[in-house]
Amino acid sequence: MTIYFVTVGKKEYKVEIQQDQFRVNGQPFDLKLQPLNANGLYLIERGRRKLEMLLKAQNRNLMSVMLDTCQMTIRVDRNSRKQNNRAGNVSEGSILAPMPGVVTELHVAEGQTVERNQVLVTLESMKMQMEIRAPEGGRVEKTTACAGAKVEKGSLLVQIKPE
Amino acid sequence: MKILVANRGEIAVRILRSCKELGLSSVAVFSDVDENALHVRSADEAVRLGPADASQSYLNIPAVIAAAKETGADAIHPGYGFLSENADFARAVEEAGMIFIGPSPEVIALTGNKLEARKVAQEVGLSVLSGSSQPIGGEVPVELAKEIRYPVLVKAVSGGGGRGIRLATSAEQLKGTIEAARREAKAAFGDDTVYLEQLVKSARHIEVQVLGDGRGKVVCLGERECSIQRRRQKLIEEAPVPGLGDDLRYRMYEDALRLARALKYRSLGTIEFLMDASGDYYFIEVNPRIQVEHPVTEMVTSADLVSAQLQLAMDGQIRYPQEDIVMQGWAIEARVLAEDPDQDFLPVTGTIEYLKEPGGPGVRVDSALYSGMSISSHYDSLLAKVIAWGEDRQHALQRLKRALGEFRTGGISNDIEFLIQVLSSEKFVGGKADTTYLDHFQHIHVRPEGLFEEEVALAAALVTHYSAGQTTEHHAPQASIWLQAAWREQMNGSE
Repeated sequence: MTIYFVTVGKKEYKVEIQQDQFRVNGQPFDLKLQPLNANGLYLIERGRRKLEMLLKAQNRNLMSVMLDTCQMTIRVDRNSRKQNNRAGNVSEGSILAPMPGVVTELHVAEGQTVERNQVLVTLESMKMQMEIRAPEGGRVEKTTACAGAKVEKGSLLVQIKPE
Repeated sequence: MKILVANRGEIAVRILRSCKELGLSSVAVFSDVDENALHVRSADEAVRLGPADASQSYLNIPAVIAAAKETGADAIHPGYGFLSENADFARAVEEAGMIFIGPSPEVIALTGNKLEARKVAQEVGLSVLSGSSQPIGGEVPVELAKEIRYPVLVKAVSGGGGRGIRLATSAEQLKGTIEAARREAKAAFGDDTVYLEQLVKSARHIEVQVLGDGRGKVVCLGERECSIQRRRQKLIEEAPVPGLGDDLRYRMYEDALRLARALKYRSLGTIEFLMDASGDYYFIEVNPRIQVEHPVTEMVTSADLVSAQLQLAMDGQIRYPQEDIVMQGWAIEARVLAEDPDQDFLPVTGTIEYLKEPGGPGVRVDSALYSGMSISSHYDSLLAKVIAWGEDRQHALQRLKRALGEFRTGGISNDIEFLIQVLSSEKFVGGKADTTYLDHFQHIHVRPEGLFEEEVALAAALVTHYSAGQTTEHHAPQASIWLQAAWREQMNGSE
């Protein structure tokens, strides 16, 4: 038997798979899922309602899901037991780029103390400028981005040691 | 005649469609990331401009001119954005012996200077907002700001498209706001000239579409309302304007025509106004190009604005006499953007894994999307425009919501749920929304609730389970045992 913990929105579901027997949160669960193409598109149904669902693995254990008009990213942890650190290998105080783009300005220097909501980095992407702010006050331990640098989604921009 | 389309995305595809209908040869241009884009495939020829960065491709004047010369193009259509409002570009096109599809370089330069445009509008009798008559110099205009009354807007003379505007709420703030506006304007437009203008409270954005032949003949193709804006970017547009009486409507048309005639306006242009709660309206700017929201005008007038531009370029004639232009029914457009509603509508990037565009009666979709398309962070986040026509406003609204509900951009999150909520809101339905409406609009996150979450969880676990079990060497997701089992079930029709 294999156990998965799937996080959908704020809820976590325990899914057990044993050959063609499935349980969700301990309850036997039957699912009719028809592939519509070889690219992750399925028809999911319950009762007489049929909905299109797209399931696409992203990096690590994230999966993007489209269900009807709703789009979301869910998390699938393959494990026989629940992990303690659900946030993965990103440690507290890491400020990551929310999307790919170019750093237009770095507002803080290493060693500097910052307050909650202080602007750390200005990022430009898709003709839009966005301000990346400190979620908590603290001391800037490390800056890895400089003005003009191209960053990927999830790249570390600034490391803050919360105080 | 051969037309080079100096743009990308949905507007390039739109222009190329008109070229095809008129039997004109067409040339597309592209940057490295757009090598396989839809607009490239829609043209007879395609020429590479340069790297993805717009400054090296779609904004690179020598490269565009060289592409036009190399392919023997007779005319260049700039679309919107990029080089469309660049007087130097229009001049370069004409100096190279080609036709620029748009106003003359002089008119583009004049409309690009917001203070100059204001002056001309005032001279021909249009109401303008109180504000500076000169750019702000070295001194902080404390007296003028007091006269206009706070809050006042600090605007970039070279601004446009909702950029380069800042608000000062008090005399203490004024100096800092001017400095910030200057810095922003310098970075965005290469010009730090700014001026002061009155802020209109509860303003509605109304614009009038004109088409001129460049020799003084101008026709008016009705008006549009574009008050639904977020971060000063238009999101929902419609024609005609709800609740606008004929008196007011024809006064606005007359004003727009007077200004366009004074400019000896050539090609398509939009005269933008702000209207306050009492029905007084003020000229704000001229957009010297085709607008993103032009389809709503096309739906209610049955005119083809791009073809009209192309024909004007060919024979100098305006295709539609004023007496033939009649608005019929109602049209509303919604902009579908690549954004994540869960992350404060930040733009998103990725791949369109599954695409289903809406259709059916009265529905038009302008997009350059295709299944498998990669959405990069190099250009804007517009995925598609969905436009619905109806016999009246309510009918158009029902159709638009229905059409948006059909749209799927699997793999790329979008603003559709948000658009539907705005379109369903009491204030929008009542035609009463002003330009600040979305600043306070509360978006409700729609989740499949408990409804299908368990199914989603199980499906995701199953897909992970079977793909992990066997795709170490090769990627063949369709070959998983479980999927084969599912196929078999489907074929047998068994439960």
